[in-house]
Amino acid sequence: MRSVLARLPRPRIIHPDDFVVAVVPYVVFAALVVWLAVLAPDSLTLDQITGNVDVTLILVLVAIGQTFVLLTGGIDLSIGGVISCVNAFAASHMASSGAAWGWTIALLLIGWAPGAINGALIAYARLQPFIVTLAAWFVWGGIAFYFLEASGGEVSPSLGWLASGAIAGVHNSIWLLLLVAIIASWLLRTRTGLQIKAVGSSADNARQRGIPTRRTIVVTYGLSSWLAAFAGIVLSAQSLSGDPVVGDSYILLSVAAAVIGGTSLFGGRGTTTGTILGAFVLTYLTSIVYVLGLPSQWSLIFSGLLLIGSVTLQLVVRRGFALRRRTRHA
Amino acid sequence: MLRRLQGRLRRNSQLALVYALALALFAIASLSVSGFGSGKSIDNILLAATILALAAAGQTLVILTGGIDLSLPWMIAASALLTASLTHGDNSALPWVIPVVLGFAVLVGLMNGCGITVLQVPPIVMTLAMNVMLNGFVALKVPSGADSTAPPLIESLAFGQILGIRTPLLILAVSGVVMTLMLTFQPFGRRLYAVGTNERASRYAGVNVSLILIRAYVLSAVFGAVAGLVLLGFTGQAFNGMGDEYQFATIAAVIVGGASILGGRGHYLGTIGGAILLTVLTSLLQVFSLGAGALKIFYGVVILVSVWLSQIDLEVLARYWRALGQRDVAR
Repeated sequence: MRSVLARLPRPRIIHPDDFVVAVVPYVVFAALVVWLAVLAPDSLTLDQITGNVDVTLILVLVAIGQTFVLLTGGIDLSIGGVISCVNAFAASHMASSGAAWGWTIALLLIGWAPGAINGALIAYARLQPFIVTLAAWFVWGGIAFYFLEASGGEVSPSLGWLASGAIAGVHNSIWLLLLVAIIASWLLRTRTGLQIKAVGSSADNARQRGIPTRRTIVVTYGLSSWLAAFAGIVLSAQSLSGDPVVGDSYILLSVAAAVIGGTSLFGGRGTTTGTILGAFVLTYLTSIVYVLGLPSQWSLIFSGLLLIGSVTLQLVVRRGFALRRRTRHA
Repeated sequence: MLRRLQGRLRRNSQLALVYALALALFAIASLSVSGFGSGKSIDNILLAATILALAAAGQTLVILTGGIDLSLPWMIAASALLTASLTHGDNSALPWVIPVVLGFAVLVGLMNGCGITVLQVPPIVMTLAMNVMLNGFVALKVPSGADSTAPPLIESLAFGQILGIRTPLLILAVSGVVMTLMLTFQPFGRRLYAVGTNERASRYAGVNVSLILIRAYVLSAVFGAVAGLVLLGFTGQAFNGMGDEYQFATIAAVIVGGASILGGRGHYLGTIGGAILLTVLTSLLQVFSLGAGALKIFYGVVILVSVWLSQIDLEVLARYWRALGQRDVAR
């Protein structure tokens, strides 16, 4: 049976109420870029921008997966474990060039599996997303220690091309960023993307309208862990070494990037473009902390505050709109 | 009388099961692994279980409300690192350092609680952000070269004796009694269960939900700080990431102890049992020299399986069984 959605007119990606929330990441990002440019004019050179893209690319990949999961109303804490696991595996099994590329392809082929297990436990066993992905975080993070007991190991420099090479004079990470941005934005507009948002808006409504909610959830978590595995590979290609707990810091950062980019923690609302901006906001924040000469730990504190501030902003804006609508109709 | 006892036993069967399992496992382990049942080994297990049970006390309260506290690892580490660096390993500064550390914990708990109630940030995100912010704050306040040795008095928290009883056991007993009194006999405890069972209903019934939640997170941070002090005494040295293990262990102890991750069901006595069971299991893992990886995987599987088991719908299973039986009869 074809889904009812297929016959509906093309829906709006951004809910009208969300316009304010959707504009904020652009404003914040622009403000940070200008601020950094004032503090350090050379931040606008191509080299510096490329460097920032390099740093942010990993977070962008993870955060887009997190965005899709947040859109279903869930949360994916397991990405920390998946990234660590892939990185530890890379540093222990990819020392030669052939092994590096062979395993990379293999990992990209099976990268969706951890997420599919999460999704199945959430959709079919009806367990809470956070407890399933929390447990998966521990399990994959634990498996990482079997590949690599402490930070070290080596990755074949030939894989480094993925992170630092160039095609047609443009740095690979910029190509990857563009590719990911376009595919993610397109995916959000396909039927699958709409189904993901529908499940997050109201799972019961979605089910009644013929959306395969369980399959959608499995697909979403699978996508998230595939992107995390990909991020782990890019991370390994950049660092050319391993660390069995490297992924843990990306859990909060991915949620922060998505939320700063306007994605709701309660499902159904958000865009991938916003998330990418959110990720860059976090990077530029770190740069500004560095340029101001503050200890780097301040960037941890600021990113936490920015996350909490964004959640509150969304709440205030959405509640404000809801209130106005109610009084208008009254 | 007997019937009342039976009823109580049935209601607390999971509680009894945890202790029975811990005891059975310990008995089997001490019979099959030489030295596992020695006095020194029991001492170590009890000490580790005490620290875990203390750290998990606040987590119990928070999980009872239906939330979760992921900021405990760095709360524990913050308490240990701040105490070590502020006292410079000397007893004389303790009278003001301990109040400062506990006050800091109250502040952290207040921020968690207010973020969750006033700003309506979901508990996972709020406490995860708090964990990272605490990490940043501690790294700022306690640079890597700071004093990290434990003052002797703090060490006696872990290894000392009062009236012939080991201090950690005394601390555990006191916290067990206080928590039980609070959960079972205090209005706060009743309201905690009410909020965890149905937040909206308890709000309509006149419970100040925000206040209950804030108190739960404050107590969680304070218990984390106390656990950090005992842990500092145990290790003798404060180091970055010393609390990381408790991220997994506290949640696992609470859930193995029979609490529902959805809130409203569970007890601290169960958590203590869960902490003992987990500590026996982890020391067994260490006997077989399985490393940090095995421990992490183990905690993940334990959490997943116990949540899964607790959420299998017994009613549905029972109906299924009955239907099977009737079909056999009909045939």
